[in-house]
Amino acid sequence: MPRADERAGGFHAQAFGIRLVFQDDLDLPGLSPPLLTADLAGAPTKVRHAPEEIEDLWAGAGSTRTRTREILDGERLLLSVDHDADRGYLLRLPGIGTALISPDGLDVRCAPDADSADWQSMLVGQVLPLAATVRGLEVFHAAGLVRGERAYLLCAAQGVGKTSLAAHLVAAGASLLSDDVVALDDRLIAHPGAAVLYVRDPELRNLGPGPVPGLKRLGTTRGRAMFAVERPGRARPVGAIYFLERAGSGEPIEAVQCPTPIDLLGATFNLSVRTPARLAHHLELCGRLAERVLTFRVRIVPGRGAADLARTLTAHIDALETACV
Amino acid sequence: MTIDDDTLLKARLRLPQHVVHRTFVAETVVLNLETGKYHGLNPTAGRMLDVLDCAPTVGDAAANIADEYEQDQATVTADLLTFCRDLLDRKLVEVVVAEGG
Repeated sequence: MPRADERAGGFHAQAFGIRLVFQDDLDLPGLSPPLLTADLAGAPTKVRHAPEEIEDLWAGAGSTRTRTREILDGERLLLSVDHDADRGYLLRLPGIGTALISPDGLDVRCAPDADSADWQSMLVGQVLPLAATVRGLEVFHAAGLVRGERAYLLCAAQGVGKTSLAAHLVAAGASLLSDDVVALDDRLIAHPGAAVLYVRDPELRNLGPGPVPGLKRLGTTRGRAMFAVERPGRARPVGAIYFLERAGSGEPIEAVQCPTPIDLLGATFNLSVRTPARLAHHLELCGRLAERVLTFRVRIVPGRGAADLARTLTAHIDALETACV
Repeated sequence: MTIDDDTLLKARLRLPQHVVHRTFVAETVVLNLETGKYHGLNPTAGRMLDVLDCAPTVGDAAANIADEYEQDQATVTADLLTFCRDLLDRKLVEVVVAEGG
């Protein structure tokens, strides 16, 4: 896996709309090559290995700390986020590692578990999107693809088929902003995350037996096949949002005349940052999306495979691109 | 605390600092930043909220809305009072106390 831009003092990269400098020898999937986006404002977020600092800092957290997010599998904790106004956000991934993101999002201290092979993908998939949110980006639970000049977001609940559809769109020539998290700034520009597709087994079978054009298999992590794909060279304006849903029948793609706030608000990837400023910002950005960006429903019906739907969607996107020109 | 109709009609209501709202195409979302709860209003209720937030009193707001929608003022006033009480119960608006009052 090629590295991001290596310089003295660490290696530099951009992801989720923020500049990053990694001060340790991390091999982060999907953050290469460095992007051409030169207009990212602000200092880079430093990402470093600092388990003792996390322990010391968090031990002093006062009674004001609150749990803002928790994901459980039965009684087993999969992920938690705690907030302390002075220390920031502590993201715990039991069995994988811990990260403490400073209140301004400029410092990410990491404590990966020694024997975890999944830390780096979790750093890219969970920690950096949280840091981006703290720094003022809005992150959406979506696959983001670039075709032509603009970015197209696929929003769906887990298991609907977002990733296999994204894989087929990549095979048809799209590049990948991210397979699961897309960061938007206030101008509704979509920023690349990591150009890696993580495909679970049922969706992997949908890709077919042979190699898929545009996808290079890297290995397996947490039971998911990991593919490297082409990363767009720069951030792009959002061209449209597609909401994927399972349906019994119906036209594959239908325009949404009045996108409901719940669709857009509910598509956030980040439920952990609940400060008044962030909640107000999130609402405003969703309002802007509703006003300025085309939205569509995409129906996934029995018997219509992801490859077939990807062809239909590719033609739809190409028509939007032509209309835009 | 229950406010009687006459007092409420003479009162001035405002969105408190911890409440923001955003108009979407077919819905207005009101967000309580203290609780993180979202509330959806249909376009008519969203317009009522806009008028309430600007009007000197609830009674003035009722007159403005009745005029704008060309509806009977008594009906609009009754609807608006119900709406105001709902907003007050949810702490989405607050009564502005007049200086010296």
